[in-house]
Amino acid sequence: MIVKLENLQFEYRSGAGTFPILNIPSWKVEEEEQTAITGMSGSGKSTLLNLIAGLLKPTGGHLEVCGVNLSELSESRRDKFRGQNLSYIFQTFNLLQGYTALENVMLGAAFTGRQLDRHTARALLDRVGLSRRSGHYPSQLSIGEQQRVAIAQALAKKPKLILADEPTGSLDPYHSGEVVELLCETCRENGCSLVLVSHEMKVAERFSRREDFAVLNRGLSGMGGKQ
Amino acid sequence: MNFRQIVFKSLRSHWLSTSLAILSIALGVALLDSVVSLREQTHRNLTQEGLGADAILGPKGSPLQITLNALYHLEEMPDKIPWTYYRKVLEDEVVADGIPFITGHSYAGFRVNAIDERFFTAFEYLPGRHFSFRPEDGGQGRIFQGNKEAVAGYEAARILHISLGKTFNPTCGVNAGDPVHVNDTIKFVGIMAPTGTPHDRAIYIPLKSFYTLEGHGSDVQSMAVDEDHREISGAYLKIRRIRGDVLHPGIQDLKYNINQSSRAQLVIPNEVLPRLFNIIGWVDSVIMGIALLVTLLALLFLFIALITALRERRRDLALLRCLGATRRTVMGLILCESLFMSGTGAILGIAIGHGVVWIGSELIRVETGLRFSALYLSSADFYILPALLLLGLLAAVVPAVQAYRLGVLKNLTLIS
Repeated sequence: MIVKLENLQFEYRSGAGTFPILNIPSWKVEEEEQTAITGMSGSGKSTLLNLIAGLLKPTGGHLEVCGVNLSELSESRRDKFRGQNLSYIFQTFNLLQGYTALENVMLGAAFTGRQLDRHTARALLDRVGLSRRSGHYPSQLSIGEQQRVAIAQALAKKPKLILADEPTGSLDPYHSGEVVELLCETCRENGCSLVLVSHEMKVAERFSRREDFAVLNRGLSGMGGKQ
Repeated sequence: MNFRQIVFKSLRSHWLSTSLAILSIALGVALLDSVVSLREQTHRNLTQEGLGADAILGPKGSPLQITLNALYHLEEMPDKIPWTYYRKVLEDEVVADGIPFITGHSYAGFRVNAIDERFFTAFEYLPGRHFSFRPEDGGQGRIFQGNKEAVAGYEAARILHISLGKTFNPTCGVNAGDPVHVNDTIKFVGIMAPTGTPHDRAIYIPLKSFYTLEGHGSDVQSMAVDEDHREISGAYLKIRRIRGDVLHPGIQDLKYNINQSSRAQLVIPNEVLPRLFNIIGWVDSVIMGIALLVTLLALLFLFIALITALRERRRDLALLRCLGATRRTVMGLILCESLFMSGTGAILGIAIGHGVVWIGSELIRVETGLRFSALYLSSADFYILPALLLLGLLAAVVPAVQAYRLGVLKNLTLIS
């Protein structure tokens, strides 16, 4: 079991009061499983990914990722856990601007406790079809190419789980399909699980397992989950 | 990619502000380092080494003026002292030796002093060191023997292009427009090896030749043979030592007795020169203050550079956190960047500071004859690097804490 949630709750607290964002009774992701979560923008999908990534701490319930109860870990330990087990791909701007494509890929493994050599990083870039652009900086790459580099970067640490938050949100339908296909293929090849959230149904249709966030987040969907 | 590579990559990504911060620190440190080095070397040159004279027997007047004239070939002697009085002082039990001299002549801006020939053999310009004419030391020729012969100091010879056999006519006085002894042509027979002291900038003629210069009146010329009426400007005195290298305590009695007389005074350079530093001490303090201010301004620039870079890199740092970097890692990143900039600036500044001393030492050597070394390790060389590293850390505390507190989601929300 890669992800296991039970009665997961998350509330957003501010001076104006407390706003419940998530209330998920039960949800699981198996090893090497690929899951798409669909739902409206602002429904709290990203919050769920942030909780799984350890960027947020649940306010209630049980959250277990790769066999570790994240609720019990300090922020520092969650950072280290994320560095060693998870990769996170965003809609855009996944790459550090001062680093070349190859360096960005190498950076992906920088906090795993092991070094990624240039040869392996180049092979990853080759896998996503960008070996000829290894010396280019993000600003010299198209959005689609940047997302491919982000996939290579995500694979660099050999994660058990990749979280993808609207990874095709800035792409046209053709490149969108291409990137999702690549993401799914490489995850299969590397034996890692994938949880992808998207508001695009066409993207979700490529997945055998699809979850409707409104159903998943029982009774709270549409409360506004953007953090 | 390891932590060190990430630090350097980060520094390279904002290379302009990194370079400017390093350069500004380097310039501040260079100023500080060179000022401290020149100050310490000046103190050492003027006090510790004493320039070979334990005491100077001179006329009544300012002790500082007498010291500057006798040892640094500056100023003018306020008067003269009787030869007989000098001979009497020589007989005192605490006086080991004396070398009489007469100042007041010049040639092309360089002082011409008449001096006893034992100056070149018995006088120690630095402890245990005598003048040399040996070619292997950089000297030429020999000590003067006849009245119409002269010896030039190394710098004087170099600047005036003096060679052996060349002649000159001394000026009677040290100021522009003073009369020249046109009928007294003197030949250079020796050039002294460099000593790194003001003696390098002087020209020496035999003591007796002063009295025999044609331009002087008969009353002066008669002093060549009439010792009872002979006068000199002063004399370098060597005082006896007790228990190794301690000056005979009787020097204070001798000083008191001489100073009580109406004819002369005894000046001890190591007592007078610290007073000179007291006089110019405020200039010293002002320069040091400016140097410190420049260094602190450079550190302020470093602080601003770090803060500005942090604002530009919030997204990058948030991404690093997302990749698994802990709060401490990003904080360490900022601290290490600051340490690198302050450390590199300090090392570069020390190197530039030594370069400044090298250039300055050439100018000072030409002007004063005093030798300064660019390789001299001042106290600043030892404390600047650790001090700058510490200050660099302090300058980075606020930006590092800001990086530590950086909200990952807040900055990731901006990008996702």
